[in-house]
This record gives sequence, structure tokens and C-alpha cells, in this order.
Amino acid sequence: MPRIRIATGCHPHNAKHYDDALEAALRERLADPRVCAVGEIGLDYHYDFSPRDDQRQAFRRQVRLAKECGLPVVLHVREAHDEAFSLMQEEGFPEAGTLLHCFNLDWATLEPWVEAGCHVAFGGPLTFKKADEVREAASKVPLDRLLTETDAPYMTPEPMRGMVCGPDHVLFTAERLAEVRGCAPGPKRAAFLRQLLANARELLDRDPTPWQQEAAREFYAEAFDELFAKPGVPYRSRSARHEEARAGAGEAGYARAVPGREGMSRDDVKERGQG
Amino acid sequence: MVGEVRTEPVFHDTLFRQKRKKGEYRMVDAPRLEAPVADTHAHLQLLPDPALALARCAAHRVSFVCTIVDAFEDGTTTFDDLRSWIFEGAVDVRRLVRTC
Repeated sequence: MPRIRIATGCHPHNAKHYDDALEAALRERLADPRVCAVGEIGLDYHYDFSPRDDQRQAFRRQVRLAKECGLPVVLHVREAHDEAFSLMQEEGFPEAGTLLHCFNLDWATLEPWVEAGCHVAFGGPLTFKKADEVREAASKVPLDRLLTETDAPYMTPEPMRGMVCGPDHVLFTAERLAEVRGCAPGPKRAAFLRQLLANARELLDRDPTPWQQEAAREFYAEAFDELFAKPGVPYRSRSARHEEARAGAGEAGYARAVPGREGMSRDDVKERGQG
Repeated sequence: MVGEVRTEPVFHDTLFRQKRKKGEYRMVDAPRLEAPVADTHAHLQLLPDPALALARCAAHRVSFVCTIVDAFEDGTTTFDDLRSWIFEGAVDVRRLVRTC
């Protein structure tokens, strides 16, 4: 069976719904160790299903979130490449990586993204009959940042356009991409395909980040506390104990109220990142 | 993610098809690639049968899939069901490979 990872984020279509509550829910999801990226996020000025201000704000907040979590971003950009690029420059491209998904335009549009060190994924549009400019762009992306994708169930490659796309349709895109890159069937194409797979796994099949590990520990700590609560002692959740400590116990009481933090001041706790 | 998913029959096999007129389908030969490939962007939960999709991936040597979950509209389905999709897919793939 294939190895499967998850990217999660708020699509620009849904940017008008991005608020603190949705971000909190997203943070919880990002802590799942199966999650490997924040996405798809970005700007879509073709459909404009969300007001552009909302799109920009949701995009910006999620880029910041990805950087906080140490995860790469998966970008959906449509008819807004210049603005998306400016926003990424302002925020700074995440160290963990930036993946421009389903690229279907020309090299002039793509070049600054490649210069900025982004990965680029090509899907069904690479195979379309009138997509010479896309193929030309694909021929120029550095090999170690080139990726294949489908966007299933959408963007079915040729010669099956009109059918529902599945992830296995990526075979057709990979075959066409190899052709575009001048890799004939045989050892040369084998090496090319192995490199594409290695690119994908290096970017997306990553170990949980320190942020994810810490967030997961916090998440499960509550469950463990409850599970191992002493018989006869009324259970108080970790967050309840924190609240009580903060509310009235003062500096010494704070350290006493939270197990494992005896003798620590509030500043100590903050410094060790346990606050 | 661009719109509604078209409806068509779900074929429980590993073949690729092209839609023809009058509701007919023509088989398309799968590329015979020398190495496994990756799909770095799929919306598994929007597919009619995610487990079958994964079984087909296994049959065609798609060895890595990154599935996308929208924080607003996709809920927890993928997080909750991914394991069972993989399990059902693993059962499916044996049957698919035997029958094709």
C-alpha cells in the first residue's frame, strides 16, 4: 500500500470562514503526526469565492502558522501569482519548504518561484494538448524540486479527461513529464522517476516537527492524567489546575499546583516552554 | 479543488478508461514505468471510494500519496477514516490483482 501523509489548511475558497476558532481547530489537526504540511492555502482570484481581503489575511496567517509549526506550505494560486509571491516575500518563505501545486502557466510566471527555492508540482494540465508553455516551464525546473501530482478527483490527465481522476492517474503525468525532460524509457527514465519520488518524500514524508511533538504531548497529557488519576482523589484536568494556579495561588502556589513544576517560578516555566 | 466531482460508475478493477459517446468507455493502456511514483496532491475523501483508490495505487506502484484536507469544509473524515481506507485497500488490492 502507498505511504500516505496529510496536508491540511484553509483553501482560499473558504478564507471568509478563517477566524480564531478555525485556526484553533487547524492547530489541533496540525499536531497529528500524519500531517506533513499546511495546505492548500493561497489566493484564488479566478473564482473569488471569498473576498480578496479575507483570502490575503487567511493566507498570511497560515504562512505564519506553518512557520511556527516548522511545516512546509502547499500553495494554491490562481490568477494571483504576483500578489501571492509578494506576500510570501513579505512573510518569508518557510524554511521547511514551499510547494506550488498544480502549476499550469508559463516559465515567466514560474521563474521567480523557482528562484526563491520552491518545489513545483505538475499534474493533469501538463498532459493537455494545448499546454506547450506548461511543458516548457516543467523542462526548466531544477530536478531536485520537481514533483508529480493529480489533484484527484479533479484535473484528470490526457487521454482520460472527462473521467474522475484518481491518484493512480499520476502515472500518465509522470510518463509525460519524463518525456518533457528528455528521459527515454529505460535506465534514464528509471533514475528520473526515482528522483521525483525522493523529492516528494524528502519534502512531505517528514518526521513530526518539534512543535508537533510538543503539541501532541500536551494533547495526550490530559488523557493520561485522567487515565492514571488516583482512586478516591477527584480528577481535575491539567488545564483546570493551571487555571486555579493562575487565579489565586501566587508564585509559590503556581509551582505547587502543577505536578513536575515544583520549585519553578512562572518565568522558569515560560522559559522552558512549558507554560 | 475546483468544483463538483462528476458522477460515473465505480469500476472495481485496475483499468484506466476514457469516456466515449453514448455512455461507453474505452480502455487505455497504463504506462509501464520503471519505478514507483508519488502523487503529492490528492483529495482522497472526495473520491467515491478512497479504499479502492488506494488499492489501485498499490497495483500501479504509486508508493506515496499526500492527501489534502480542508480545515473548513472537510471535517475529520480523513483523520478518522484513513486507517480503515488503508486496511480495506490492502484487502481490495489482492482481489483486484487476482481478477485483472
